[in-house]
Amino acid sequence: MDSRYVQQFKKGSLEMILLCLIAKKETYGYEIITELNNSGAAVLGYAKEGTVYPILYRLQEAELIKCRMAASAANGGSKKYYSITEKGMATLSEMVSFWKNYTVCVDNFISGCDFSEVAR
Amino acid sequence: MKQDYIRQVKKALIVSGKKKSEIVRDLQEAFASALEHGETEQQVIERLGSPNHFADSIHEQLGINYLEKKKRKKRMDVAIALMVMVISFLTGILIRIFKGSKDVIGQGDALTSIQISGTAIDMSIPFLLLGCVSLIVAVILIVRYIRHPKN
Repeated sequence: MDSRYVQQFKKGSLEMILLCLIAKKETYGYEIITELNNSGAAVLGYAKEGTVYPILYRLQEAELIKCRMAASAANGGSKKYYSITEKGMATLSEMVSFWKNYTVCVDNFISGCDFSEVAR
Repeated sequence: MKQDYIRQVKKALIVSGKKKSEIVRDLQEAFASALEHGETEQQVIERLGSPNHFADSIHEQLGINYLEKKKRKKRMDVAIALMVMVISFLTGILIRIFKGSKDVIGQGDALTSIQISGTAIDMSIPFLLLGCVSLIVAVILIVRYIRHPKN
């Protein structure tokens, strides 16, 4: 499939997926990437810092997530831990319920489309 | 390699200084975490994408109309180059005008036979040179601005 379609599909949902991951537990950049890759790589393709970080900045700017710094013993530097805010939680639940309606709606269109007809 | 990458991202970013240092810190963390998990800097760089692309996705996500900003910055550069050019030429020309003719000294009404010898630098030359350089820079910037319709 043309990778542009995949990009488009991913664009809207990745934000929701990230919010979900952060809502589950406080987490940091590398862990987010790893989790995305462990459970989503087959469909979503490999998650990249280049995609994830910019979205995290936006979520933070919109006050849907917040972060705190913690010293990291392993690398001598610091790690930024993200957690969801109340506003983020409310937005996420709105997103999820919209997403459910959305997929039902899209599925209806897809199931009403006769592929053999289209192919001819 | 990592420092080079971070430096290029820094250069490409058009966000506030505070945001910039935050992004640089995060990049350092990204490299450190990956290294901790046995990855190489090269692998992280591949996932980050080119410095320009990474910076652009941040701009896009933050809703910064970076094209407009870039455009404005380019116009600003042209304006500065033109201004430097005008000021330099004016200064250079004024110095030339007020230098007086060669053999006139002080308020003398007529020519004297007194010669002033010395190796004083003609101050108008550096100004005129600077004017020429900024003219060239301005022309280059304008051509570049016009050539990239995307900008």
